[in-house]
Amino acid sequence: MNSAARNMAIDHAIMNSVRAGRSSPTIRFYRWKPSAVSIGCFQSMNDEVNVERCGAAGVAYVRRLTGGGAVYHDINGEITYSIIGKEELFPKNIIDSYKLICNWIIESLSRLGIKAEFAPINDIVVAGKKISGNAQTRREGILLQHGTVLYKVDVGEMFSLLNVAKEKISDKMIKSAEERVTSVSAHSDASIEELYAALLSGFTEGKNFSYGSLSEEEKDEAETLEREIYSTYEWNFSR
Amino acid sequence: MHGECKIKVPGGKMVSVKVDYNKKILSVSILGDFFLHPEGTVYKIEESLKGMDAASGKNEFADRIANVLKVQNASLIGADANVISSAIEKAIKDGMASN
Repeated sequence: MNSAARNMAIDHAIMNSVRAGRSSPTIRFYRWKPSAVSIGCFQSMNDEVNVERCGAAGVAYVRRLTGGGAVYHDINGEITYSIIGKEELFPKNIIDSYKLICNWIIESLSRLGIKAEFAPINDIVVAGKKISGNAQTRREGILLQHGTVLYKVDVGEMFSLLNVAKEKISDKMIKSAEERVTSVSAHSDASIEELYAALLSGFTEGKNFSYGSLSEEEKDEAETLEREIYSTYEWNFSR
Repeated sequence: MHGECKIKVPGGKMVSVKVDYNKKILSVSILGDFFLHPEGTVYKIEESLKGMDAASGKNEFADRIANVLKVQNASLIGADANVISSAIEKAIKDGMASN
């Protein structure tokens, strides 16, 4: 578990390391401590996030390298993954590459008895309700896709952290969101550790792989990127 | 003057536009949960719109945006040049109505 800024810096550092040929294609699983809101690179922090409420609740916030929407990363409510490799390893068509990687999540969920399906552009749904959101960038020949798999959802807490006018956070709105979002815990008795195990096997099946940890170079670069980009006001409030 | 407009693309993403202008466009921010590869193209689109006549129609904005996308060989996913241009046109009208 890492802070929001460190998590985004690690993904970025691995991208640079894979590009330089210092690291193999990498699959990473992680959680967020403290809980955090991440926003897409084209979003406005002040428009999307209730920064004041996040501060009071001890929830961090960060701008991602990837597009897509605001995501609440509850420390106990989800598992995030990232996939980093040379673009040539993935379909050139962006939707096709989402589908390829999302199928690994679908396969993982099936191991818990959950029947999920890909919902283009970038979601995975169970019975029409979103259980996973994903976002991808391609930079200088390297593809990074990261996404979340929801383990349990507290819609009220999520809305309190996003910048929705208080009067708009009605019971009706929360009910509407609950009708559109689901989680592993709504369909399975699996623990979050069991979800992690399912993701690990679903993502690695049929692949030659080895377990590893960040190299010293990746750690050093992540520290630098965290300090110089992801923890800065200039980056997080750039739009 | 300043105007803003949000458009939810059916089956797609949210596009939010903020425009500062007088007779000409002074600045445009194109925001939302869409995807654009390469991401830096958004700044080139915003820059390309500066100085355009604020009375331009959405087709003229769309042509300018589509040209940048083409030159940059960019992929815009979950939105398109027409949606962004419609949002710009509506943001300008919104600004006129509230000033």
